[in-house]
Amino acid sequence: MTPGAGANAGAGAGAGAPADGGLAVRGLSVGYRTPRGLAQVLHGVDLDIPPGTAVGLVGESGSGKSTLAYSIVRYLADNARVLGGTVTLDGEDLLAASGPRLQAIRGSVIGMVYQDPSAALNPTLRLGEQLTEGIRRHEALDRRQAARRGAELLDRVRLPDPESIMRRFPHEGSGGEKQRVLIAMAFACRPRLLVFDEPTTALDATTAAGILDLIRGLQEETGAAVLYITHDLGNVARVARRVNVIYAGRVVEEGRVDDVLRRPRHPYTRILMASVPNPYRESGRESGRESGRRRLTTFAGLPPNLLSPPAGCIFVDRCPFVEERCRTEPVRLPGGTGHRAACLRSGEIAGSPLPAPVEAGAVNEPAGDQPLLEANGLEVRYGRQSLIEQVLRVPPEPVHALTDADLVIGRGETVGLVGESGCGKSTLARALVGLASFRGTIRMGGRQIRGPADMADDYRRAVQIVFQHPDLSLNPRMTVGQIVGRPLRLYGRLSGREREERVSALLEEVRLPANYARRRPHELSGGEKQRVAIARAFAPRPELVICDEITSGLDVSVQASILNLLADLQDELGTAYLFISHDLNLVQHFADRIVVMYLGRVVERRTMAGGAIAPPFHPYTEALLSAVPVPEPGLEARQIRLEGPLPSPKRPPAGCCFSTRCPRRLGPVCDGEPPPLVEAGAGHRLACHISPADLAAVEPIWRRIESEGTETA
Amino acid sequence: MTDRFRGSWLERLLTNPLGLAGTVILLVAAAQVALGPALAPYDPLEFHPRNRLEGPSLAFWFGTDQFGRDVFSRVMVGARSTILFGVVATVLSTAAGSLVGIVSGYVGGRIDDVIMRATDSFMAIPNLLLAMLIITVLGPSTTNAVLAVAVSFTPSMARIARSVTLSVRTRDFVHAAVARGEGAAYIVLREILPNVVAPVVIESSIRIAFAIMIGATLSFLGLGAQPPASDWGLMVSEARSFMFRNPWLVVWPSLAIGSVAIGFNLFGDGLRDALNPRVGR
Repeated sequence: MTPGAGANAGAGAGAGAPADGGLAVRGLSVGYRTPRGLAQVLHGVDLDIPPGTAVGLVGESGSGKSTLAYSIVRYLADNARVLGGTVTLDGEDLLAASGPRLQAIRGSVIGMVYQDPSAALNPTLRLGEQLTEGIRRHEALDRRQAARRGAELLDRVRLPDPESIMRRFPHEGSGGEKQRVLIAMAFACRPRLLVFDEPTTALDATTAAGILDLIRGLQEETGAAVLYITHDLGNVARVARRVNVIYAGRVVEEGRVDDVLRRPRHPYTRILMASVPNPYRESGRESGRESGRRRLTTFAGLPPNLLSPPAGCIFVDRCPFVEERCRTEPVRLPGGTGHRAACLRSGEIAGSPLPAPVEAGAVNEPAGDQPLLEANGLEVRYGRQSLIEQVLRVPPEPVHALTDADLVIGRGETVGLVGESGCGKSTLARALVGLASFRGTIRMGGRQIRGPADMADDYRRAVQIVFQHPDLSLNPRMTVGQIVGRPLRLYGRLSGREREERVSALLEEVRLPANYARRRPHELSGGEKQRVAIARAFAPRPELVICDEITSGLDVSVQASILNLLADLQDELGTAYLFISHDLNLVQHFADRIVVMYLGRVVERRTMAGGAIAPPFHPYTEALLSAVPVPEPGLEARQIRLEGPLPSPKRPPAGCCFSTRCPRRLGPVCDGEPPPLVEAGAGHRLACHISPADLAAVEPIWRRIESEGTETA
Repeated sequence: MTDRFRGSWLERLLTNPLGLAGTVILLVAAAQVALGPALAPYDPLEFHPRNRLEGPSLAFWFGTDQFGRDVFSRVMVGARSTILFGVVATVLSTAAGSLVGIVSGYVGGRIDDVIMRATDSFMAIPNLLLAMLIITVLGPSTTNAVLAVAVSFTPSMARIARSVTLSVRTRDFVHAAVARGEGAAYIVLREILPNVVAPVVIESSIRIAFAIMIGATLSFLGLGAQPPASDWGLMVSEARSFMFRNPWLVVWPSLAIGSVAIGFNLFGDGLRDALNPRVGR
C-alpha cells in the first residue's frame, strides 16, 4: 500500500526522479494551439501508479483527464504540445520513445480501453481476428496458437462460448460483450500498465457493474498498474485504491479512495459528490417535495478560461469558501503520500457545510389523483418489409418495441420511467407525442386518441418533449431566438415585438441571458443547449413535458443544475413531467412515482412516498438498484448480475419477459405464463410470479463492511 | 466587418492555400466572363489572311488560326459562353436534383423506391453518352447542350440531396417539429432545406468543372456551339486538323478549360472544408 519512495521525492523536486517501478508522471504540462492562442489543459500534473495498484482519475469534461491518458500513450492530437514534465514507465522515458519503440509499447506494454466499444472495433473484421491481431503482432505466435490464446482470454473475461464469439462480427455482439472483448485485447500481451478511459459510460448500468467487477478481478489477478479514468466517483470506489481528482488541468485532490470519499477536502470534490444523489444516504431520508429533497448542490459560475486562467486558485470563481488570498496566492498540491488537497483553506473548511441549494418558496404540490394523461394498452411495433421480402412472402417479423403499456400521469406530478436500452421507454415517449403509430388509447382532457392523426393542436401544445442530445434536437441553421420563438408562432397570435419579449422572458426562465437569442446552437455549451431545448418545450406553456434522457450526455454538475431548473419550473408552473432515464438513482431522487420497464413491458409501478425505493421490488428493479455506483466507503453492494443477453424484441419470451435473465427465477411457471400485475402496497404494483411478501423479505442491497470510525492515514 | 469575417467560413476558405488558389482562378475567370470582348485586342471573327497559323508574337499573343483570327481574342471572348455553359447547366441540375432528392428522401416509402430506381437507371448511362443522346433528339445547339448536360447531371445531384435529407430527417429537431404538429411545407423548407443547401452547393461547385469539360467535349464533337463561335471546346476541335502545323492552337483553349476546371475544383474542395470545420482536422 505504501507507494515507492520516489513518489515523495518527485512531488516537490521538478528534477523528475524516477520511481522504482510502475508509471510516474512528473510535472506534466500539455497545451493545445488554437486560433486564439495556447490553451494549457494540463498544469504540472504528478501521478504515480506503482505496479499492482489501480488509481482512479476523476474529472468532468474539459478537465484534461483524457489528454493525460493520451499523453501517456503518446497519442495526442496534432495541435497538442507537451510543455514540460516527464512520463516514465518502469524507468523508461515514454515522452522520448522513438516511433518503432512506441509501436512496440502500445498494445503490449500499455493496454488501453476506450469509452465506446462499438467505435473501437472495426465493423468489417471478426472479433477473433481483431483479438488475435495484437497477439500475433507483439508475440511471435502462429495463427493457431494466437487463436488458442484468444479463446483463453475471452474465457478470462467471462464470455461464455469463446469460439463462437470469435467468429462473430462486432454488430453481432452486445455493448457489454464488445467491451469485454476489448478488455481481453488490452490484457492480451500481459501489459504492465492499463489505461481505462470511461469504459462503462456507454453501457447500461447492469452491464457496467459487471465490467467494473471484471476490471477489478483482472487487475488483482495480473498485478498490472491500472489508470481508471471516469467522471463518476462511485465507479472509482469499486475499482481503485487511490484517486486523483482533476479540475481544469490540475490535480486538486489526491488520496486513498476511502479517505477522499469519506472526507473530501477540496471544495470541488465536495460539490461534485453532492451533485449526484447518494442512493444509500437517500434510503434513510425523509421524503416529499416539502422537505426539499429535490434540489441538488451545484456549482456557481463557469469553468475557467484556459487561455487566461486565474492567477491564484483555479477554482476561485466557483468556490463557496473563497477568500481574498485565494485570488492571488498560488495554490499547489502538497507533496507526500497522504490525503492531499490543493486548497489554502482545506484544513479550516473541512467541517463547514456546503451552502444548501436554494429551494423555491411557493411549491405546487402534485395532484396524482387528478389524472392529466392516461394511456391504456399502448403497443408499438416497428419493422417495414422490403419489396423483395414482400415478393418472396417472407413472414413479417416486427420488433415488439412496446407491449401493453399502461401509464397515468397526474397534474403537476413527476413520473419517472426507468429501464435500460431497448426497454421501450423512448418508444413510449415517441408514441405519446405522435412520432410512432400505436395501438391502444391515450386519454387527455376528455378526449380519446387512437393514433397520431387524432392529436389535435391543443394536445400537441399541451404535451411537449425534450430530447436527449441537444446537438441533434436544435436546428444548427437557426438562431436560439427562432428556435424558442417557433412554438409561439405556431400556437399563438403574437406580434413580432411581443414574441421577442416572450423569447427573452423564456430564456430568463431557463437562466440564460436574453442576448443568447441571436446566437446559434454551436456557440453554446452542452448544458446551455439543453436549456434552450427546455425553453422551447416550455414556450407554449404545456401541461406535460416529456424529458427523454435529457441529462445523459451532460456532466454530473450540469445535470444537477438542469434538474434544479426542472424542479424550479415545476414549482412555478405546475407542469407535469414524464422523466425518462436509464439511471434509477436519479429517477428515484427526482420522481413522485416510478415506472420500471423491461423489454417493452412495464414490470413495476410504484409511488415514491417512502423517499427511496425499498423492498418489495421486482427482481429487475433489484438488479438495477444494486448496479448503482455508490460513492460511499466501507459499503458493499449485493452483487446481482444479470447473465446472458437481452432477448430479441422480435421474439420476446413467452412467459415473463425477464425470465431468461432473472436471478430469482422460480421455475417453468416463469417461462410459460406471463406474470400478473399484483398489488404490493399502496400505489405499488409489480409483474412477478413471486409473492410480494417473499420479495419484501430480500436482504438489503447495501451492507456496511467496516465501521465508520476506522480510518488509516 | 472584420469581426464578421474572423472565424467565418470565408476566412477559413481564404486561409487555406488551395482554397485561395481556386478563388483567385475563379476571380480571373469571372473577370473574363464580365469583360470578355473588352479584353480582346482584335475582333475574334476578323480574318488576318497574311498572318495565318502563326505562333505567338507581339502582335498576336497566342498566335493565329487557319483563317488568321487572333487566338488570344478568341480565348478571351470564348470564356463567357464556355463558363456560363457550365454554370447554367450545373445550376439547373442542382435545382432539379435537389427538388427530386428532398422529396424522395422526405416522403420515403414506395415513392422513394420508384424515384431512386429511376435515377439509378439514368446513372448507369455515362453522362456524356446521355447528353449526346438528348442532343440527337433535340438537335445540336448551345441551349440544347446546356439542357442535355443539366439532365444528365440531375440524377447524381438527386442522390446527394436525398442522402443528406435522409440523415437530416432522422435528427431530433425534425422529430421535434413533427411532434409540435408542424406541416410538411414548414418542415421541408425551414427545417430540412437549410441543412441540405451547404453540402449540395459544395458538390455543385465541383461539378461545374465537369460540366465545362462535357460542354467542351460536346462542342468538340460538333454537338454544342457551332462555328464560327469562339467556344473553347469548338476551338480545340477546329484546331485538330492544324495541330502539327501550329500546336499552339490546341494548347491555349485546352489550358483555359483546364485552369477553369481546376479552379472550380479547388474552390469546391476549399468550400467543403470551410463549411465543415470539423472535417479533416
